[in-house]
Amino acid sequence: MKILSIVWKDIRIFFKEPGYLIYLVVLPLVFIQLFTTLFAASVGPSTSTTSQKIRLVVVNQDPDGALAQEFVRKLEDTGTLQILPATLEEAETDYKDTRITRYLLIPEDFTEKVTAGQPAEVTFKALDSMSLTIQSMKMIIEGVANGMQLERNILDSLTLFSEMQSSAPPEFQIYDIDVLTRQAQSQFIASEERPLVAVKLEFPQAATVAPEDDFSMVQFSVPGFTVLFAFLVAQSSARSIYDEKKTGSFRRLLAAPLSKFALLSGKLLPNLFIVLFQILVIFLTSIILLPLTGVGRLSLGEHPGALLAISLCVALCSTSLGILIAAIARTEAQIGGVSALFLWLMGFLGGTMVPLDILNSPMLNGIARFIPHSYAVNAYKDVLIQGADLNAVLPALGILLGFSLIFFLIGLWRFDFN
Amino acid sequence: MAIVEAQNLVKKFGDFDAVKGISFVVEEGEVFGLLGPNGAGKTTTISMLTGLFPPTSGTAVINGYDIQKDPLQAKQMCGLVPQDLALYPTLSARANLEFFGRVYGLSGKKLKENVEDILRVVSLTDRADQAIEKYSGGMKRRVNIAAGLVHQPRLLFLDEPTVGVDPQSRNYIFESVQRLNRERGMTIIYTSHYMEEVELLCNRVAIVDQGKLIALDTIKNLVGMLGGGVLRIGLKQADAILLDALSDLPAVKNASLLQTVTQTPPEQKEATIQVAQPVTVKVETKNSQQALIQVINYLEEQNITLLSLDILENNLESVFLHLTGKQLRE
Repeated sequence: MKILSIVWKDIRIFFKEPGYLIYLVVLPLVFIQLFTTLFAASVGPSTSTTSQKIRLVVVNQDPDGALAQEFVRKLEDTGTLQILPATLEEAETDYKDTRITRYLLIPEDFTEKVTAGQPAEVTFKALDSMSLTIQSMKMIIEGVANGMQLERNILDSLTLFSEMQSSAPPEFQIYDIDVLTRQAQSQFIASEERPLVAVKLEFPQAATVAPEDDFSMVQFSVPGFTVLFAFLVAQSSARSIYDEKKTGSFRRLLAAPLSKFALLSGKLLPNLFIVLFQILVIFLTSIILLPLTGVGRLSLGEHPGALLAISLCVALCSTSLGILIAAIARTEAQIGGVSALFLWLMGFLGGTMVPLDILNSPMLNGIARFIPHSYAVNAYKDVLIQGADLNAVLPALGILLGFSLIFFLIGLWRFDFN
Repeated sequence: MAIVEAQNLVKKFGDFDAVKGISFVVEEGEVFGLLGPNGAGKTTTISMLTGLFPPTSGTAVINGYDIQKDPLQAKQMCGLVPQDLALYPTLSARANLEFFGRVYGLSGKKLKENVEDILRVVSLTDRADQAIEKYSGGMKRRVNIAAGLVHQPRLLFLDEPTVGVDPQSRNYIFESVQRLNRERGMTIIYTSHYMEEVELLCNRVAIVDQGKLIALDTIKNLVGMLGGGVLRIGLKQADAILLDALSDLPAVKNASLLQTVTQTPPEQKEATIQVAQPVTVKVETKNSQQALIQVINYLEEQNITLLSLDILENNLESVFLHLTGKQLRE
């Protein structure tokens, strides 16, 4: 109860300080927006000429087939896809080199099979199979395929009836409109049960998504800046303890019937909640509001529950770091200095601002192994981009908890209650 | 009945001995003063009594609870009003008081009643929901005091509450102390280096210097032990023969050299004729009027130039001077 009073008081103070909110919640979103926009512009042609269309490389191995041509045309007619024709060799090379993250392959016997009423299969290859964009594109392709198939089936039925009726005497021409309708419905059901054109989604087990478009960069920038700013909360936590000591309210709390454990817990738990709140706002904004600005939507991956576990570990680690900073920095200037050194430098070296795999520096990769940020960023990316589950990120979470314990114990040892 | 029993309290910070074995007893219902210059060990003593940190050695019992064995129960008895404005400026007075009430275990109806009550006591009911950063300095002081009272402690520690406070707020604090003691029977331990405050408010006074308790009694008894007051005379030089001669004057009890000479606080009730102070001699008298005449006559006879002369009325300042050979400093 007493701990909760301190927690509630600190949270109220936090939300009454617009500066904190701007620094810890608004600023990361601004960074994400800027980083995503600038980076996307630097790695490929601008998407502005095609408005909000999603680019799709199509390898049509049945270029002379009428139905294959029709299939491609109908994909373009959906208004949501920008079709980029390519040969199989070009597409495979770009896909392997991660210059593109997906392409559609129409086989050479597509028209022949569909015309003959045999099942045909188009292949949709994607690096990031679970992202919202890929799932949406798959649905669009399936929709076009189903539409074509239904149309084909109904046309076949009507042709069949027409042939049957034409050879019969007038008194035996029994196929009135009701019979025709029932037959069309039967064909519709059959088309659903036995798809004529199937869309096969192919994706690698583990892959690194290259920055092909805005969407992918959101997947990179959101975890990076989320981790950077989540750890920056440690600075505000240390400052809160410093302010209490400076004004004398910490002394007043020490004189209250509270154990030191309760007092310290009460001062640190708000940090935990603020980090979780901050991550929630950043993720929700990246899903709901960022797409409105034209930089793409964040996909939560296949196992969003794992994100909660990562966020809890990040919050815990940030909180422990807050104790450490509060313990070793005795003045406001020291808090600023230590925070700049610890948080911003660690953030950079931990790959929160620029992905370490892009920098491709063995030295930086070696340093990152000693920085909690790198484990947090990688865990988020594994879940968000590669669809990893909780088990896959458990080693990273274990290391984050290890960092938390080390920070907490050193902080507690050095913390000056007096 | 004793509400505070301090036994040989010692506090060391590394090599520095902040408190060197202080013992005293405070009776319930008293306003007890801890008087001493800055750095004397007053705040350290209070900090030990309020459980901010443990004593290096010694014990203290608050209303029957040992501060080291039963710290939470002992703390529950106490309220602390620190020298600083130990409040949360972005929160309202009501939110501040509710918070401090909760950390003392209050909740629900009792919390609301106590907060309303204390807001009435400090006359802030009308502006209770305004952020205190918008308050005047005096109003903040009132909230600062209220925060130490919201849980209705039996024992209130006021640690130099008037430092940096305007005269109006200072008077308000004096009135509050007297009212809380008179109307609510609250025991108050008041630390200050302003002797008039202690003289005005306290029944008994413990004088502390350099971590030691050097006197403890009622103000009347402390002042009474000086007899007729103190003269401070500035001379170009003084030797043992001169000091002995002055001590032998009929109205003089003793004459001695002052260890340190510092500027007299403006509020001290004394007449000062200052020229220069190469040497200052403290003359304790049986009767200050007669001693003054005898000292001046003697110096004239001996053709010794008088550089300055202070006549100190008998008060806690002169008691401190008498006991330590130095003044209470700003």
